[in-house]
Amino acid sequence: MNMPTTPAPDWAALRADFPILDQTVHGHPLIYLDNGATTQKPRCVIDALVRYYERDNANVHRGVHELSYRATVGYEAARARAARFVNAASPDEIIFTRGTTEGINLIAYSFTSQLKPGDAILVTEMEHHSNLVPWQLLARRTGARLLFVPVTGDEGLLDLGNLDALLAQKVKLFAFPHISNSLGTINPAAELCARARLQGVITVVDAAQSAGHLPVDVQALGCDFLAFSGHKMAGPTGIGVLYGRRALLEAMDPFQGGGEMIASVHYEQSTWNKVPHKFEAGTPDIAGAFGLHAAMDYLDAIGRPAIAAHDGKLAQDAFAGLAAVPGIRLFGPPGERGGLVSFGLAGAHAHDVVTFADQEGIALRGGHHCTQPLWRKLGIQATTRASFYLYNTPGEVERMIEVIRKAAVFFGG
Amino acid sequence: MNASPTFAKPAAGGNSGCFRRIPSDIASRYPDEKPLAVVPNPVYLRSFMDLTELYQSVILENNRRPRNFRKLPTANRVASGNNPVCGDEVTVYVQVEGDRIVDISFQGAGCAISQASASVMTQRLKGKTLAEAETMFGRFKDIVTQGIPDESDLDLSAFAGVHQFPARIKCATLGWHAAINAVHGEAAVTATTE
Repeated sequence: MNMPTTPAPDWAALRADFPILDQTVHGHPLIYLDNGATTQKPRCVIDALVRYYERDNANVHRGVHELSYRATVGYEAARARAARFVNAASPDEIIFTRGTTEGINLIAYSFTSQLKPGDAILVTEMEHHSNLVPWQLLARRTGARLLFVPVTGDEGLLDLGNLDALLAQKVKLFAFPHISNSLGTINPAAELCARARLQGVITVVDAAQSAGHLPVDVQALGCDFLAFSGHKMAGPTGIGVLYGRRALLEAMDPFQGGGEMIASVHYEQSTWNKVPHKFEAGTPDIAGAFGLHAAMDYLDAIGRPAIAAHDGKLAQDAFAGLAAVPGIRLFGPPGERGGLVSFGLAGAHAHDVVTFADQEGIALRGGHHCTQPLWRKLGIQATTRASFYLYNTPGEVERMIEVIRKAAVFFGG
Repeated sequence: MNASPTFAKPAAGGNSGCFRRIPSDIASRYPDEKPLAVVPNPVYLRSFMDLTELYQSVILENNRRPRNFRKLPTANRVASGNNPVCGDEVTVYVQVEGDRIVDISFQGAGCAISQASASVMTQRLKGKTLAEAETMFGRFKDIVTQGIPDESDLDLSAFAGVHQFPARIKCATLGWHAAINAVHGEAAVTATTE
């Protein structure tokens, strides 16, 4: 049987969907390579925000008037869309958050009563601070220990040799990044979840760097929780998604108290609304949900496999091109990787490299990328990161490499 | 069947790629939907500045070969500074006798601005009284925040270009803050934007 063929995306035409890219910075056409920090927004996402505020703005789940009805329907439609986006079994398993960080903090806070001294929380040595510090706080509240899956070295892979032994040390929760924001490593999430499940360990996937790039299917991954941010996948800032398995969500304590999350309130005590509303105290980012909805539609119309192939190829080309620059030290796996590349340059600090590139119109990120313990382990203070998205081009990668070459000469001289 | 993707052919005016602006179940409530006006893109307004204005040869040279880059065995005051955002680190060792800085050194790691500035700082503060050191730091802050060079001190004036890069001012002042804290006997400083 012939499968219907999807035409290859016209990447150059897609680029025209992003109004911000059409500008010059310091006299050069903008080359935006800081997508790991936040991505740019297509016109349809900007339109969705404007239209919401121009026509529909009202609070959700409260009013009976027309605007409130529209806002509520749109907000819940975004939730249903997010459920389809990650293949959740039900929209009730989708909690809107401010972003990945809040999603992880929600889990860590709400598990406080379920951990006790002697229990352990397993994370990896490549965590973003947002998937480390909330667990440190949970460990401090409960007396649980933190354990770490080691990273092999500059090639940035997880050393899984002792994973089963680690999981056996009374681990209750195992949290790890789908794609490392510093190294570009794509971790074998389904395998990690399967090995955790065998020992009854609950899994938390930090999908901040993957959700807008790769197909993410929570049922195929077999994870218990998965968190991501709208703004790293063409959506607005201020909105994110936490997926959680319904049975776990129902057993968890609420995160914040307030309106919306209650069933009935008395002066002395209250009962909780059903999931997911139990975890959405206060007025949510309604406009953000409308914008995120547009972003998810946009990405899926292109197709996330195509996006992954596109920005993964750019990252591999950048890795190969940068490898020839004198004094370069590249991090992360040389082969398949997420859409980003991190490197150090002998004689030039990352912030100087970023300032240099900025004057050439190229936006890069320099610093510790919120993974300080990882760089301490690898013995480097800061790196420069180029991170790619669907609107970046091979020509931009070439120009970036040329500018890094110039920077090496300028500072190394 | 879904509507065919429109991404391959952007509509006139660059307003394209909108696949579903309104949830379809309430689309009928918007019979008079009109396209939004196309707004011209803003042009980034800061004028181009040659990098050599920021990275003067004094800075590049002091970064490559920092002066007084060592621990000071005779130090009786030590203070560290770090910039938690970018990770610049500087530790300043000072030997104070009476009200005078007899000797001063530093160690650290970070960007060229932070390391060169600490290097120049040690050269300037050695032999100065505490009051003179404070005055000189004041002059240096004026240079990096306002960009007004001091004709009498070309090495300090090399940092005048920093004022065009507000995010980098804290790099330039990190070593100085640590030095002033050291002479006052305060242990650590965390950089803040000037």
